[in-house]
Amino acid sequence: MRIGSTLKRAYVSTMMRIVGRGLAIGSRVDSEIARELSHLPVEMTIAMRVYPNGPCCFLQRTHDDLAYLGVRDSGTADMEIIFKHLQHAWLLYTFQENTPVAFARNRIVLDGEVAHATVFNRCLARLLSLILPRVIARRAVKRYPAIALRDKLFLAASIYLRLPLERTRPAL
Amino acid sequence: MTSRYYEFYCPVKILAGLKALEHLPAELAERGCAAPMVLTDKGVRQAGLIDHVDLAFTEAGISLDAVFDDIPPDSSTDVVEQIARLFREHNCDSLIAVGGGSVLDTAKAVNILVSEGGEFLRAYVGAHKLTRPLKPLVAIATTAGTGSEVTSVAVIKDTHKQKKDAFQSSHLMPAIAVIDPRMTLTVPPGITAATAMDALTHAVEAYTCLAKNPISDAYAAAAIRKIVAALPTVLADPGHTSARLELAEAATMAGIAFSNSMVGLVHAIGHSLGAVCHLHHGTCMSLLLPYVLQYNYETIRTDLAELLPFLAGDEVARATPLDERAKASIAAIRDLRDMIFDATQLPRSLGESGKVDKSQFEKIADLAVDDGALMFNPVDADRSDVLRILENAWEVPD
Repeated sequence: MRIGSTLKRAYVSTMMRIVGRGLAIGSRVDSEIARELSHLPVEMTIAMRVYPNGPCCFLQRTHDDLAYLGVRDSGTADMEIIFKHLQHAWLLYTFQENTPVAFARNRIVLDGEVAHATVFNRCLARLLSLILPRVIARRAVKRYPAIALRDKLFLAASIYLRLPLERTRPAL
Repeated sequence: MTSRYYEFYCPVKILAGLKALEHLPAELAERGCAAPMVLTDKGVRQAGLIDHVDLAFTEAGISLDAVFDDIPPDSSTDVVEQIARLFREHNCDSLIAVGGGSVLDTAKAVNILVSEGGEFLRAYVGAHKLTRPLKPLVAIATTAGTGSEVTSVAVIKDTHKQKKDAFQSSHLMPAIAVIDPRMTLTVPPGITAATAMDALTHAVEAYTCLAKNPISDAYAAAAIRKIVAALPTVLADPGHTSARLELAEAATMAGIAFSNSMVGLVHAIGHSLGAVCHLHHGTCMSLLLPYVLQYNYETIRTDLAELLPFLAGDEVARATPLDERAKASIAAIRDLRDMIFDATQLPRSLGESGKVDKSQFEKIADLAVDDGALMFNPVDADRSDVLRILENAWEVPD
């Protein structure tokens, strides 16, 4: 399937907004994501970026949660997860590859602490397991977690319903 | 299948064989280098291994004047910065590292400072911070296991922050790796066995983890065959030069394999076990390998089955039904571990090591799940999975 690069870029940018906001909401409504994030230093900034000047989603660990700082084309962060090409971000956000496979195939470069990246990857995997239908989530994560359908639906609804209300916050 | 992709890179020139060191002066001259600085540690110096290097250069009419022989086992930024100053004072133009993992990592870090300039290493912490080739670095490994002579990573302790920093760049790879059996001939049997199991683990994980690829597979499989064949010979006859050479070659081949396809859960737990319990890295690998392969079993059974001819020989593989080969591969690794125990008393279980207490399991599991190697393991693992693996590895089943 050939998709125009403009459309691809728009899709990746939209998915970054959804995932960024979703992680921020998840840090408040899901105890699992909140527990994982507690291992990151307060005020640490995180970016998911498409090299060289593609969309870039910024997040920050605050004292209480994860703040969504927005999607823009420039800026730096304490830890950056850099897709080497728009196509690589497309593969990940269309759930054709999960994050560990993308790392294994050298599509992603990490700039920052490896231990922090593993924590962030677990948060991302947990979010995708909650908000995606099981059949898609199984492709998006290395191992689909044991989670009761009722809990999944409740948490997914909590995240989706808050998505339109989640605002961009300034960095600490 | 459409998104299948891999990268493979190894620019290291390998000089391997009897009297390989004697090729070094000409190799350095070819690169325009006339004033190398030698880096090593006290143990290597006392074992007389530097004398082989010294003689190779003396006979070529070159004097090795700049020598730093005090690299500690757990090298630090202070040591690196001190050596870099000496390198500049002596107007050196290249580096020769003679030793194990700490010496080779130190040499890679020194090369950053003396090539890129600057006094402090911390500016280069992380991945892909180097953008141009460094000065020629020669790696002469004195243990057959780490594979550092062909990897692009260095780990150095930050003296001020008291934490370990990782440096990763393809420019960190040595220009030349020398495999000369004289350099490993005096390694005691216990260390020889532990480092060989480290190399075996590199190869097995390279073959079974997420970033495996056809080229790294070839290196990994060939390394396994060499280790399985040569290790019993070396343990029975430590002075067996050609078997020593086979082991050293295998360690380098396994290093090439894993630096291109990464390692997985054995290393994730092994790094943490080593950090918490101060157990030798090779011993950690030997203890954990069968249990992690069992944990990954369902996902990697095809790969494991393919390894049987390399682990147990072609005849055994031919005589083993297809659906039993994966289990037979794990059994072959257990047999190798038990043979090593009989020959060297290298522990087969965490309990046997005498250095691990079950109360440390929680801490080990906490560290293991944050280890970068876990990312490349084919099966995800959380704390409870790691704790279960540690429990399984506590004692050898009757």
